[in-house]
Amino acid sequence: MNIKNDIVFDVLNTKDLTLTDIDFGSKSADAVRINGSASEAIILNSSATVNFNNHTAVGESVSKDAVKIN
Amino acid sequence: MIKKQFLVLLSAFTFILGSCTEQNNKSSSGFYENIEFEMALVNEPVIPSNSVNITDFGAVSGGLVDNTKAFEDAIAAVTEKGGGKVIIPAGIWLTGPIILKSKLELHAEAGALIRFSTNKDLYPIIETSFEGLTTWRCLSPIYGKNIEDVAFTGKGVWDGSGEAWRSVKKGKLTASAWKKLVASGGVLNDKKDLWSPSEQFMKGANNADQNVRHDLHTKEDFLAIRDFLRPVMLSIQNSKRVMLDGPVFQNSPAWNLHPLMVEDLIVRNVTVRNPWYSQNGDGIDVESCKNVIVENSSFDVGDDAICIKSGKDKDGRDRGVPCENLIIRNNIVYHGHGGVTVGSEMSSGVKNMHVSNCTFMGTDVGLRFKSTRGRGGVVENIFIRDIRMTDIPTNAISFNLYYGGKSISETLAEGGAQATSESIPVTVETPQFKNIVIKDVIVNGAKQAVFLQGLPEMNLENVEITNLMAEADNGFSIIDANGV
Repeated sequence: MNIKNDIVFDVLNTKDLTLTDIDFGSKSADAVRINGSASEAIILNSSATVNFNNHTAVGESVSKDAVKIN
Repeated sequence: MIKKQFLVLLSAFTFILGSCTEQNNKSSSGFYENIEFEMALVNEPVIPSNSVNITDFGAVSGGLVDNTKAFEDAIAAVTEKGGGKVIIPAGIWLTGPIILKSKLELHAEAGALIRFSTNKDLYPIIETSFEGLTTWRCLSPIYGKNIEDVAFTGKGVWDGSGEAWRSVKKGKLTASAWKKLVASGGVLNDKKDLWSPSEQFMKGANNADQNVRHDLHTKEDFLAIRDFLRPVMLSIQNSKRVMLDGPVFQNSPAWNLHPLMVEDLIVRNVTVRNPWYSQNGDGIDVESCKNVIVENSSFDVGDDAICIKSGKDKDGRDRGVPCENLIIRNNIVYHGHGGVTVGSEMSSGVKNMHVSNCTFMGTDVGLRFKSTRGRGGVVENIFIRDIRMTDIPTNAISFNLYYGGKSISETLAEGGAQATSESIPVTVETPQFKNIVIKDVIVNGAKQAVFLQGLPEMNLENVEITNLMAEADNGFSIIDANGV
């Protein structure tokens, strides 16, 4: 995908979000932003040209364990 | 006699936790291959081989003589024979409304232009349905109710003379076009930014819920605002085996084509046109219909292009007739608010819809799903694939459960839909969208690739988007969803 904005996924109050095989492209900030008390997400087999782990923000009300990154 | 049957496809789908998955088509039939759900045959109309020509009934070409009676007499003549074809040869044929009968084919030959009269006295008001509500509107230029076996064929053009009926916003015209329109007559609002055909029209627009007045009840009430009650161009209601194959339909007063509660509907090889600025200038609104094919057609219109509906709020829920078993494929949409749209009037539900091989070039939104609290209804089992979009100024794919009656461009200009994080109790008025599969989509230019927004009390459920190639300013917004 070629998304100009750094945030490719902006997610709020969503359960059972699965992101697989996504090429986020070159990002200088968060590629995925997840917020909200109901958020649960799995991100698999995806890539970004920045350090992906360090550039995935998790909303305050979601524990980091809720987001798994391979 | 035109009759053709297609083999039924048998397929099934199952949904697993958190996502929905298609099963393979079990049929070897060509026509229904790759349709993801089971549906019945879509039957074409059966029409006897009798035929007449409107010129045999005194019709005069040139656009100056009213041929309403010639059309009426020609239709009556084939009806007396048990049905048949009415031939409209090349020429310009001015007419008032045409009332359809069963077993009738209206064949407009290439070079035929049927222009509907701008004399509103020819269009009495009738109790009907518009925007999903029971109300009074002027009789449609093409009208049929409780009929069977009806076809429009040929390469001719049907023109609804919409310019005589609709209002126009100043911001949608060039300065010179606006000046010319104002000089032609009509009236302006206080802000001088909205032109209406008459004082009566402008009076009628006051207190309207979109285009329907809830505060009026009697025929006399509505007669006082008749100019405002612009009709859809083609209205066929509660009918069976209807086919539009070949013609151009353009310049409608309100929506262009409106099949309502039609079973076995085929729309193919048609060109649907409206001025890009036409208010409520939808292309086709398939409402509460069963077993539908819309294919090989093009749409260039002023509002949503291919729209799937099933009534609005309590009127829609009381009707209780969903729109179901739809195949929409091989279509091109040029200008329009939405390329393929479901809602916002979906109160009887929409289920089993296949959309494939469609191209949207510059529509405001590509795939548009919209509703709001109060509608009720369930939209489910929607399968969309092989979609190309270019230059989408807003969202390529949009689910908006806060629809407020305006185009998405207008809504965004006003700061966006008024969403809320507050959950309210689920009732029959709560709309629901679930089990949506969208795959193999190319978006070449959009403000946003995907916007998914459900309600706090009723999340979007089971939305699967695969193989999306998107070039857009913004990516995905996902709010109040479950299983994406």
